[in-house]
Amino acid sequence: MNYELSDPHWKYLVVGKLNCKFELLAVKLLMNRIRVKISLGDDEETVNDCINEVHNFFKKNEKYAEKDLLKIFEQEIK
Amino acid sequence: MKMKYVFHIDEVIRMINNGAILALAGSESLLSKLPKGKWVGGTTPYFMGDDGGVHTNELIFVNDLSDHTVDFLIKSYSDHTISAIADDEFTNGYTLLIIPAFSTLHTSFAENAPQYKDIFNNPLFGWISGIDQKEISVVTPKVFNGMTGEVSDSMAVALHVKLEDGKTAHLDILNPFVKGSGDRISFPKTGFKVKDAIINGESKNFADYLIENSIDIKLPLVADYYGAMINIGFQNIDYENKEVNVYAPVFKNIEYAMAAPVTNYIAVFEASLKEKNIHPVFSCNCLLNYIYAELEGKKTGNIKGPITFGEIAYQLLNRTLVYLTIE
Repeated sequence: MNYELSDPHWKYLVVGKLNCKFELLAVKLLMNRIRVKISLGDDEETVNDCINEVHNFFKKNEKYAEKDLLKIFEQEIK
Repeated sequence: MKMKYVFHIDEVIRMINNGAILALAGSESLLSKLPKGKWVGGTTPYFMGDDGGVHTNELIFVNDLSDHTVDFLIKSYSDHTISAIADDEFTNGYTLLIIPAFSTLHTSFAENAPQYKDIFNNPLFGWISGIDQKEISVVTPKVFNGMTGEVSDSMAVALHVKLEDGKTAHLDILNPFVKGSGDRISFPKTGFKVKDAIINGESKNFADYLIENSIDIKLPLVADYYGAMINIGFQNIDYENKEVNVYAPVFKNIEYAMAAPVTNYIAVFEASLKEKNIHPVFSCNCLLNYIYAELEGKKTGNIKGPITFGEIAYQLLNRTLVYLTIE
């Protein structure tokens, strides 16, 4: 996958700083799971776990989730 | 060509003996008479059949999943093994899961599936098997592992399918309900039995809240999961214990609202179907939708499938149509 784990988009996504309207049910449910995790504690370890989880999902489903992946990475990081 | 989905038992026996890979729904008495083979099944006498909604103990609903399937695994899961179900999935494929209603596994899956490892990596869908409403508390819902002949009211059964290269399974839901504009409701505990709620930030007994505000519990609670509307259907209000029983667990840390009223379920449904233009290889819908929308004898577009005690799309759902397409 072109989108490295270190890319800041992943962190922005898991801490809720990117506003994406996802298409896949799996992505919507996954992101809800992440939102709940982060709402319970946004310490560095939790955030990194969440980044790994989301990155792994998109790595395994790069083609299937291509549209949602693009929605994340077309957003500008400020 | 118009596909047929509802069959007499003799026809189903022929399909099994011909080696078809099948997902079946029907009464326990019928499914018990089937030979071993490449099939999984669950009990329900309600389907959206070839001629619309039907309630019957004489026919079996059949999804023939042989097309595009290059490998498969049928496996039963207990309360202790279900959390690792994703480990058995094929890389390019899907998993159809059937769980018996009212089992410990039903509760456990409902409360914990969103946290299972790798649960979102492959389409995982299915349904909660049921029984005739008149037989609740008399007989238990069952699932059938056609490979082993095992019948269970406590284990789940899954059909894992590997698809041929170039084919992809796509799982989605169709939910006629959206969050209404009323009170924002959350819950301090996850569970099927709800005592306490937080209504617009204030703690309140949930049963009292529903009664005092004359809330129509034929409508579900709805939460917005990043654009996916997830329902919680009401079973009843236990006035004596001041407790509310629901068909899927409410989750701590999720914000709900009562659904906006749906005046014409079939019209809303057909509009969504037309917009999406879907041709599912599998679908199922909820018994409460069947009852409240009076679907017996009526069609919901080209959607056919078991009518269930709960739907599964990665996690337990209520009042929702779940469908799988192969693209």
